Amino acid sequence: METTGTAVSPAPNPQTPTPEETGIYVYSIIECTEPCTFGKIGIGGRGDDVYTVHYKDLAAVVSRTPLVVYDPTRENALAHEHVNEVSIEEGFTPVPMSFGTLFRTEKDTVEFLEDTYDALRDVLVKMKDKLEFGLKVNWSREQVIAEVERDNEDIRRLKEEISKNQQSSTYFARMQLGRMTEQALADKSDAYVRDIYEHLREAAIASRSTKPIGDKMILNAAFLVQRDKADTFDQKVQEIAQRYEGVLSFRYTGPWPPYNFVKIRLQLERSAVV
Amino acid sequence: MVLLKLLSLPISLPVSGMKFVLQQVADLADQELYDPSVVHEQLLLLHVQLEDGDIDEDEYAQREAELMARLRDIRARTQQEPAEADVDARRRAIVETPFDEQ
Repeated sequence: METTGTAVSPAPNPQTPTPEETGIYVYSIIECTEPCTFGKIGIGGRGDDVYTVHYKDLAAVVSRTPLVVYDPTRENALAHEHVNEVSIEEGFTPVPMSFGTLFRTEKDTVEFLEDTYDALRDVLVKMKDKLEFGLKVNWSREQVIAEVERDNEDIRRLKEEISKNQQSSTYFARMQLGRMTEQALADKSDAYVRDIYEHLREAAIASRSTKPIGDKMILNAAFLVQRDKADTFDQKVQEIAQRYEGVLSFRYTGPWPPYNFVKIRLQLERSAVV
Repeated sequence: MVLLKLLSLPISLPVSGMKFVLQQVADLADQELYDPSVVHEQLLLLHVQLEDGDIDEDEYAQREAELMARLRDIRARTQQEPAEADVDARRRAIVETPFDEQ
């Protein structure tokens, strides 16, 4: 993780924002010199125009909005993502801003672009023509437990022993069975995950794995892929999904902007610790 | 001093020890309740449950609304807006590129 740039936005203003005031919501930064519009798809459900605010060769993709704190609801997140999707379709490679990023005015937005110009240029160059794909892989825990209990000699024997001696089987033996099963599950999951990564590695530039969500998921990953390699990556995902048909279920999404590979966020000056 | 403390321990433990434990439980509950990252984690889980078909749209909407109310409550208690939305504060932009080159 690296910190490549800092910028200072305008000095504090004692006024507190009220919902009637309007501000500028920023979705992403793109490389673009001519004014662009992306349709009436702005966040907030008012059908605000999405357009660009420029500084040199950079542009912020923005829409007008009431000055409110946007809750991370699915509706809002989808609106934010949809704007980024549209700009990908238009051929841009947006570098996404954190969800909920607001400025008071267009002038403030331009100042942000100006102050952060070098760092923004840097990531835009790094991310040029690169897209993100998401992959979540689930397994059926019960099915795998049954498999493990059938195939793992030690576990099978211990289980038989416990069920034969219902009364006398110790707490310890049950604990041990639990531990062994957990270990066998973890080993199996690791092997699947390794194999999947191995298969996709060549077609991707980089990958990031996040903590699996819930107890069915064994892999939650994002892959950074060159735009012209997207078809190859697609094919690789289809192949590995076929290999594990009936055992693992794959949820494959994208193309996304590189949400998991670039983070542009604003930090309050007073809490800044660098 | 140490000896005296040790000697008095059995007597003082039931009361202050209990208080200590209760305080810890309360702190943990507060942390859970007032930690936005806990709410965000639950939100992610909710998304996945909806995508997997474990819950329907109605249940999703209801539980999402509960989580949003909790987030707003946390914001009200800490009196802190997320930096992304605090348009009048002095803010600095942080650009990070977490990357696992293969």
